[in-house]
Amino acid sequence: MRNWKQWPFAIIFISMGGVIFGAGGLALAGLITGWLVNSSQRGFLMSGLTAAFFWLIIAVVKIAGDQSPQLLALAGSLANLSGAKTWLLLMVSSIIAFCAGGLGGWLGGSLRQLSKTSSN
Amino acid sequence: MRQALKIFLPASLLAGYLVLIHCPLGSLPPPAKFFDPLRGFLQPAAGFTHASFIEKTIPALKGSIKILLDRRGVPHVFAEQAEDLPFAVGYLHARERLFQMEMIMRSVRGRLSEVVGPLALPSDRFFLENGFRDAADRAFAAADRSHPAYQTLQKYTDGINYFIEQLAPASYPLEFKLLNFAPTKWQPQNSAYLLKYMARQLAWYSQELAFDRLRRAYPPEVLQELYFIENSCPAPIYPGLFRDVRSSSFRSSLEDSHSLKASLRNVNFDDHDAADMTMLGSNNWAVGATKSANGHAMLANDPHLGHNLPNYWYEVDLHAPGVDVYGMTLPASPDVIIGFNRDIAWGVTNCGWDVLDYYKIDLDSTGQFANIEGQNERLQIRSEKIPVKDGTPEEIQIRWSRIGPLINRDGVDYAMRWTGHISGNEWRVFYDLNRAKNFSDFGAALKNYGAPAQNFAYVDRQGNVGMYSAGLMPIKPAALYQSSGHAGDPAQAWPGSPRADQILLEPAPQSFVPFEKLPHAFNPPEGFVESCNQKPTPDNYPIFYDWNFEAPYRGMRIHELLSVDRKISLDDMKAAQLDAHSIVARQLTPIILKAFDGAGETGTAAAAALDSLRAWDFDFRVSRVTPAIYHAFWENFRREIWAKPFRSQDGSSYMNPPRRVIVQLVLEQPDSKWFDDPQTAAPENLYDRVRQVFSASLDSLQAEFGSDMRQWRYGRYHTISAEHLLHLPNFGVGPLPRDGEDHTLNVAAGREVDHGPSMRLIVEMGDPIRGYIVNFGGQSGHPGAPHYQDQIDEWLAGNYFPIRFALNPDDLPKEEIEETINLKPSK
Repeated sequence: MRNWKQWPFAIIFISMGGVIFGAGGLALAGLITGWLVNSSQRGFLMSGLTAAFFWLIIAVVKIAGDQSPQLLALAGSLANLSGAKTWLLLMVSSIIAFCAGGLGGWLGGSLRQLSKTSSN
Repeated sequence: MRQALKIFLPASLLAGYLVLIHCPLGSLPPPAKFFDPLRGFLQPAAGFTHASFIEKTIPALKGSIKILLDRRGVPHVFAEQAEDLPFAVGYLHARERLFQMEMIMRSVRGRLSEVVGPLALPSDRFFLENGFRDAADRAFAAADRSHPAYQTLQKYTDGINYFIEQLAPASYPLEFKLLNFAPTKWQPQNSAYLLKYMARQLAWYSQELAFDRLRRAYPPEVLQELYFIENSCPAPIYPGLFRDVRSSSFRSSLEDSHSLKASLRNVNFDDHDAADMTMLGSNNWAVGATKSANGHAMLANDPHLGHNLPNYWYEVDLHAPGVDVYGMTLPASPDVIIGFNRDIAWGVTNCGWDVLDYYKIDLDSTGQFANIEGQNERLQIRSEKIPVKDGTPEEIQIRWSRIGPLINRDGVDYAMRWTGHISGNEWRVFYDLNRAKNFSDFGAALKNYGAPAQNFAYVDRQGNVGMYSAGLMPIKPAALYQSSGHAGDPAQAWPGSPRADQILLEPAPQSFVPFEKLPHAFNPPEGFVESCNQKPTPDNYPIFYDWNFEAPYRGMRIHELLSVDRKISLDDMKAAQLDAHSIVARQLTPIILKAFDGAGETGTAAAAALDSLRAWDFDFRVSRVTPAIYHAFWENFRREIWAKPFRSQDGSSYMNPPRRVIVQLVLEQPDSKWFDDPQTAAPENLYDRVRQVFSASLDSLQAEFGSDMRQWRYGRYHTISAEHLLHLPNFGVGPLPRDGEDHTLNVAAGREVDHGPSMRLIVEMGDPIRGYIVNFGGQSGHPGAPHYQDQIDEWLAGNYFPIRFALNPDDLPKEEIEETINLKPSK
């Protein structure tokens, strides 16, 4: 696939994976994305970034949209975070998603390359 | 090889990473779940916010249920079929308080450690070894299955489990996510666990260990002078009772109901070895039509419990054929505990009777048999394994004798006898109370009540007023009874007294005052009844059942307020509930002033402080300075007087004498030897010590708040806090300024207040019924939710919310409705 076309697929796969299966779903969707982009490096970055942004956007939407600001503050207080620092929790969330998606993408890309090598 | 490595490396990293983020990290939940924005901490629990409309089809229902939640989150429930009503209550309790209910159930079952970890092991051991769970299971097993109250428990359970079954893990309350476990399927007997949990809060009082320590360290005269003094209460709950109970037939019937046998030794043992003897109290009073300004009977109740978030209470308005009831429920129990129906209203305070005793027993060498009444009796012994999160399961032995559970302290075996172990029909009591129509029904309902013993205040639509002290009241042995101050030598009488070891206590089975002869009153000549945990009966009451009651000052104050020569209004009832006037301060302040009479120059701060005391009306309000001056003095004074004489060689404190004792000493014995500082050569009297402590207290206030006395406002000095069940920071509230003190009706004991009125209720039984209510906290149990603590500001400010007792859904204004829930049966 050409690069620009790969992003929508990555976003769709990873969103679906994240919605249905959580962090495990991000990894699985990353794996598929990595396979499709046919590159372990691009698979890692594309899947990782998509997963990280997906969780971050969901979190921001929740905080803006309902009672989650109170929940963010409460969770922050457990880690002795207050005010703007509570947003560090969203960073942690994004990093977890990035690693799950990214590692999945890396593995998917590697598997695709291995399968090509084997068929050659 | 290189190709394999290219796969192996990301695969193993991915697998390892996924395992890592799905496993708990120590006490932290799995990060993959907790930080997932769709499933973790950012996903609100079901019921966190209220949708405007919910409709569900539920096969278990016989008819439709309409639930309208108002702006405070109070549900107004209208069930077509009465048997469906508890289903709705169970559903609502689960939706709003699931974690609280789980914690109560786990506490009594001894299963907290399973989800909390080793930190909770002492709690689990306590509840299991002390027989709470066994007693609850037995009570439930013995319940009358044919009584509708039992069916109610089943339906209530169905409602809870329906909610749990519908609950996706993403919508678990936050605490379940933090502790990483799923809600447990509810069992009907869990409601029995709640009753034991509350009985432990309200009726698990004993100072016997503390007395035992004192007795080993001090001569008998000291204990006799300072501790074993039965309250002489100027305002008992039943001032006119003596006339009714003194009859010889009453007395002889009690004497015949037990016998003495030389088998068990009273020992002095207890877990509560705190410096001060305190218990959870409460206030209730009721004014009959003859005393009421508008001719309708009125009732006020503010039960004093530990301030926690969520609060114990969940407010409901319930309607179905045959029942219309409003009031406070306890999550884990389907019926209204305090409230009113179309005909009567009731409220409770804690009796605080001595219903927990320990007996030293001798076991044989095998540990299987106990010597009771000279005979070896086999104990019931079983092992129980307590599962521990992140730890090794712990196995404990649970031992029962026929007296009660056995515990071992410092190598000595004790059997305990507690009324909470033998009661268990209380859910039936509240079922019947919810449907009672008059005083006769009220009494019939209370007949089944066991523990924790409560003073039930009563009013009805006919303008009647009453009070019934219900619960198991153990008859103390004749040896105690006959010499309990009414005859004989009191030194022989008091439990824990120097000669108590020689007193023979009666063996099981224990006998109790018959229900009909428990203290009660109906339409007394005063036109009102009240109870504030003080001694219920007059001094010449012929039965000995306890000696150490709460100080009488709150009772005296409400007597003072209700005995005025005019009718009482609803506003008077509110003002009394919020009353911050201290009779103790009124009595003691002149002593402080007298100590400085003729003392010469006392310094600017002291002179100003004394001037403010002279002008004081003895109200403890947060905006004032004088209450802080008085409170700092009095707390320091009590500590100073007792600290030296009652400190052990290892530096720990002995239990202080009851608070009323030092008040009596100050008022009546200014030259008492206890006012002399043993560490100084010169003898001191009361006034010397008052001057010393007063000056030191002013110094401490200056050090804490600065030299500008205007900054010593009571609200800065005296604060209230409430913690979340898991003691998580910021899940609670406070510290916040708090009116009142130990002996004000609006009670706020200590300097950092952590218990007091858990809610305030006032009801006028007119047509229509009017009422006012405020809860310490809110309706929701979900931290951060809109109704989690939305009533605290109003509670602190002394405001109330009008009660909307809606007999049908149309009685509620549309703008008052926050959420509508329709639960429908399958067609």
